[in-house]
Amino acid sequence: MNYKPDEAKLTSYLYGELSGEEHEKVSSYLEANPELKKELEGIQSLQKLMGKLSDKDVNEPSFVFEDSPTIVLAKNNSFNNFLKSTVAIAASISLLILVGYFTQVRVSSNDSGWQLSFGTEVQGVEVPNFNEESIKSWMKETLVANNESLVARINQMENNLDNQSAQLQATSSGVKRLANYKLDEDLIDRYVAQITRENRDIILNLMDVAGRSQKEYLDDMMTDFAKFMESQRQSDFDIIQEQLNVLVDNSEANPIDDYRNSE
Amino acid sequence: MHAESLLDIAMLHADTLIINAQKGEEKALNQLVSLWYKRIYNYVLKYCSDEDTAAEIAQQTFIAMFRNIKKLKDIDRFKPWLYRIATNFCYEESRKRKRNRTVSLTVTRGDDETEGTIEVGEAKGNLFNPERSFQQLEIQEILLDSLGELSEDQRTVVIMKEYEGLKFTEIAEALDASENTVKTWLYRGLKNLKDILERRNITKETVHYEL
Repeated sequence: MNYKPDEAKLTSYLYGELSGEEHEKVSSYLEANPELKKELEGIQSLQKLMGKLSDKDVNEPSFVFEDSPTIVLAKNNSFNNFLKSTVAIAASISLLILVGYFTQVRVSSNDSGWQLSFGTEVQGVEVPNFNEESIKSWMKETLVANNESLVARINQMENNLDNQSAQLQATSSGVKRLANYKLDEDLIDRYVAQITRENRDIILNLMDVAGRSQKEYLDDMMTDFAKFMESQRQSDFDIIQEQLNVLVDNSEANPIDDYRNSE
Repeated sequence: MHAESLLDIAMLHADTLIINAQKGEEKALNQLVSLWYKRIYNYVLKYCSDEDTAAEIAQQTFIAMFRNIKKLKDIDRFKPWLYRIATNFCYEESRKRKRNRTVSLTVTRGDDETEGTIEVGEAKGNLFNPERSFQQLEIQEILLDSLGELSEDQRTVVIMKEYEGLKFTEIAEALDASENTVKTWLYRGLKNLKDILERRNITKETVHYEL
């Protein structure tokens, strides 16, 4: 048998890519060559062993595209964040510069110090010198002014109090005048007489009403009592009549003669 | 690519995304990154065994993708095209490392011999440490390190086929080679990897896994 499969053919055999006829030829050859067969079996064992080497999990990086073909690689999240924060800072600075440009912010320095101005720069602005004396004098001035205003307010309050006091005195004298006013005695007498007259009328009216009511009540009571006595008397009469009837009946049923005869 | 998840299915049907990305739509470009970043990162990680390098190369790959996606004429070839970009960056990184290793040896030649040995060990792979015994090493580290011992072509083909599930035609296109060549590289790569692991006493008897 001159047939000898080459390595490529053996690979195809290992991966099952040979047609039936070729597969048989290689199988026959392997049967005749145990060493090669053992080698192939070893490779098949190796293929199973290789399965022990598994894939590692990995997170894909993000890619940031600028104008093609420039590509900025964002290697991982932290780099991505760094990129974002950098862009944010740059944008903020640009915005500040823009605002500064439109508002014409000028920062200049001279002998007296720094000067921040909007619009055109103001020249020759004199900055007062600050020293202990000047500050003390300002404080003093401020305190004096404050004291003066306080005194003025206190004086005004005193005036107000005086006014209120005067008003109170005026009111008090008015009350006294009212107390001293002498009432007209005739008016009082007339008032009392009127009240008395009214009271008398009320009492008379009350007596009249009460008398009539009492009389009606007494009449009703007497009538009721008379009716009661009449009905009581009638009832007594009825009872007596009844008893008499009974007595009459008994005497008729049991005559005295009969009784005597029997004795 | 085995359609094992919704993500895999999305990757298989990303034609519209690719068309929109070619028009320069930022959203489509970023969605392509979302779909493919994990695959490309893990592909590169298995190639270079270093997470930082893998992240760097993966990012370079997608930046190159953004810049050149308009040149991609056949959108069906997007996958091998993307792997080709990543592979080129991997090869470039390997060359840089080789230059660094040469410099290191030159510098340490006159010094203590032990230091020179350590330099070589480090240059071969960040995860490789010959002083560690098998018991101390994770099987994943050993596999990564063993992959690093393969030649560039073999390593690339093994990772593309075994871990990325590319078809032979796709690998051939990504590496600008014939399918037969790819299959040959793959067979040699798997055989060498088996030998490397056997030398490290990694066999089905020493590693407990279900066969």
